[in-house]
Amino acid sequence: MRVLMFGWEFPPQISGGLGVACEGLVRGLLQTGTEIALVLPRHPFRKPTGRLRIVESLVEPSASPTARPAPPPVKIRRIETRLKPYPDSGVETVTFETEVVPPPSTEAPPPNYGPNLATDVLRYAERAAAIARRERFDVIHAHDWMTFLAGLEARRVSGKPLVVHVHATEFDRAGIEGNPFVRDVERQGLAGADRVIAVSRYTASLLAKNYAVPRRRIRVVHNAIDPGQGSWADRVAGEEPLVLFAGRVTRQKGPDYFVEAAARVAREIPNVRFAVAGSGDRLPAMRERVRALGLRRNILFTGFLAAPDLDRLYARADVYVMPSISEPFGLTALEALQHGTPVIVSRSAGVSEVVRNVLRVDFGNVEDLASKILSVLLFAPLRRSLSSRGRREVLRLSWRESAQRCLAVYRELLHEKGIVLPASAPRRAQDPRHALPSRP
Amino acid sequence: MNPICLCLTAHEPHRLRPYNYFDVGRRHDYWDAESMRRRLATAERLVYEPATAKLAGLLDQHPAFAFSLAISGPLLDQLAAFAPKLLAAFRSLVETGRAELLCATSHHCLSWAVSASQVEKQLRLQRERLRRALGREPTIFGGEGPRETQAFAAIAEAVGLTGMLLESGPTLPDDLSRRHVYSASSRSHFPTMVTTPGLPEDIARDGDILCLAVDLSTEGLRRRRNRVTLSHLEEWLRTALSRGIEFLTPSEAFSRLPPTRALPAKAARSPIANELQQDALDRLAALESRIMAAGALPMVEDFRRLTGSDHFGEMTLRATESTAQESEPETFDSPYEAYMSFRHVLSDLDRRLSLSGLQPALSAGSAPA
Repeated sequence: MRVLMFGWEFPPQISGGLGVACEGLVRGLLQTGTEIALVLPRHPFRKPTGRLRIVESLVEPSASPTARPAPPPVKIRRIETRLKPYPDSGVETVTFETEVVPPPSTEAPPPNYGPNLATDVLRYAERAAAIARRERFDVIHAHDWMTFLAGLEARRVSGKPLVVHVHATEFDRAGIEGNPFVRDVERQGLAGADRVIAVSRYTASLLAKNYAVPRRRIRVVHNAIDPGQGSWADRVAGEEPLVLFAGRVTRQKGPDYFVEAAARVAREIPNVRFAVAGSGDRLPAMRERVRALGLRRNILFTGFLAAPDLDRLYARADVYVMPSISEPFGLTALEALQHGTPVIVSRSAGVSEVVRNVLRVDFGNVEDLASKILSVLLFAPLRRSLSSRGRREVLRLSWRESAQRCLAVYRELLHEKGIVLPASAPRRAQDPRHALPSRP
Repeated sequence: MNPICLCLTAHEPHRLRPYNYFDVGRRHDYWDAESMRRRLATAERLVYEPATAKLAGLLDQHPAFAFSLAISGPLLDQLAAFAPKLLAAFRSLVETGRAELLCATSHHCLSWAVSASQVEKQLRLQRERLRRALGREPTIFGGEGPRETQAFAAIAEAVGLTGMLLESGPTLPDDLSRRHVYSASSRSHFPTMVTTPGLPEDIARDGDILCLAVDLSTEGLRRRRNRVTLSHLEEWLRTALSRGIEFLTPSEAFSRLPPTRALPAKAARSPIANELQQDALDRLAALESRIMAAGALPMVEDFRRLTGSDHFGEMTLRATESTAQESEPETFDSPYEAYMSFRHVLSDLDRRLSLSGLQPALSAGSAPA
């Protein structure tokens, strides 16, 4: 099986779960013997590794978002292509607000989400046609809206089936105030794809509800985590209890609930510490609220953290909290569990479909969240059970299994088109975790 | 063909409401009366009402039909509060004299969790409650297997009971034959039978007696999903009666069949299987003597309800090992939730005790562990 894969983030250039998930899936697919040509906007590594070739499509210096300042709203020239992200007119004005604030630290990875994101997305799609003509592949796999237009272009010129993989929708990133351009691209990709892979049943429901994707075209492939990552250590007695929030500080991640719950917890356990690892547009408001609540001594803002630093924080934390309003999956919960850190996760998070040894909260219920944080900090048997059982549960997951499910989707498509590959197509998995939610 | 001793059990637990850290000291209503009322109404409509009607019909048509009825203390409370018609239906079954009432602990307590004197008090209490509510005084114990069968038999005997029907739960050895009458006490031959759950396909088998337990609440509700209803029970009984099989009440069985062997003194394994259950149990047990010394009835009643075995059942972690979807939505969406609510309730109970001024507070509540 040969896959032409369009990605946007890939380690070390990551700003969230998308890059981690993309890498995990690629690694899992390689283990199954799949050949992958991975198209990325830009990537520092050029070394081909076995059956994986990294194809860069936006390599000229002018494409680098850091190289040219562009004050929003950005005027962009419509690219001559058959894709119509916007109604016909020579020049479009796109008001594009960045989803991710560039990390403050100079050590942070270069952003793939500069102010020219819309331009980059269209340029990337334009290159896709040429790449698709050049490469040999059986199926196209595109990750999230940034690559959907590229996927559609590749499908148009090659006639090969397209799988779009939804790691997050604009609704998850921005709620109802989402960017209309992004929504439009998402709609085109979802409508034009032969299959849609959702990272959770939760996301599958959103796709059916908000984007009218027919359920028969949606398949759920949960994210995973590879074993061997994460170091587990006993907590040091006498250390101040530490509660961790890690992720983009945007409204949808629920940072406001975290701060309000922190205030309630700190009233009961004055020496408790909270760490916020991440940055985003809600960060100033969050800091302001922390000041107003008199919590400055309790809460530490670390900014964006990557692997080794974040791992240390996971290992040190007594509980990891993910109070998201909408969370398609929530890979960081698996990372925390891998470090043996108890997890409290929002009920609207896809990750709660694959792990049971976590505590769940309704995202707006601050009192319940605070009560659960306190329970984990105060009740040692609870902490130990969540830690050991959660870790054991996560160790059973693997990207290879997720890759197998993707392969099953590819085979299903090829079978429909009457194409037979050497390997026999396995039957679709019957695991209840991967069943689609029934209609309400 | 050996005779059948049929035991129908009916139980609905006292249900805790979700109770969080901030509820401690703020509210003392731990019990979700609305949920209990709703669930009992469903069970009454689907199971108990048709079951009592069918049993009354069978007693009417078959003079040889007899059985025993184990109505749990928590269910008796709820019948009195929410379902007087159903209580009357049970009463009329008992009044025929062919439905023998069995006695268990008044709060369906996990006997492992509490002292012998607590078990004794709860047995006396339940016998008295049954006499008042249903007009007959039970003489046979019917309930979950206790920790030590001989010690338990001694308590039952001291209370004035004359035999035991033990549910073959996880605490009794698997290889124990269910077809004989045992002696649970070396001194007085306290007669005991161990029940087999469900209705076997093959009725006629060897042995002294076939002692069957049918859990009305779960049997009826579970089977409804498989499109098999209580009519299965009725059909089975009609078949057995038409084949001339003899039905005995436990008292009749014990008077006719003397014990032939000794019951093992110790049960096979503890029903407490994980750290959460053990911690909850230890902290509950630590409160018992202070609660009883304080003697305030509302606190004693709350304590006794907390001894109910269902609370510990909800903390079973087995279910979390698999991601298969659960069949029945419960009050708590995980064993962890059940444990947290239980611990916070204990904190509140401990606080009430301290405020009652009889004893200084111990750290049984939410002290950092």
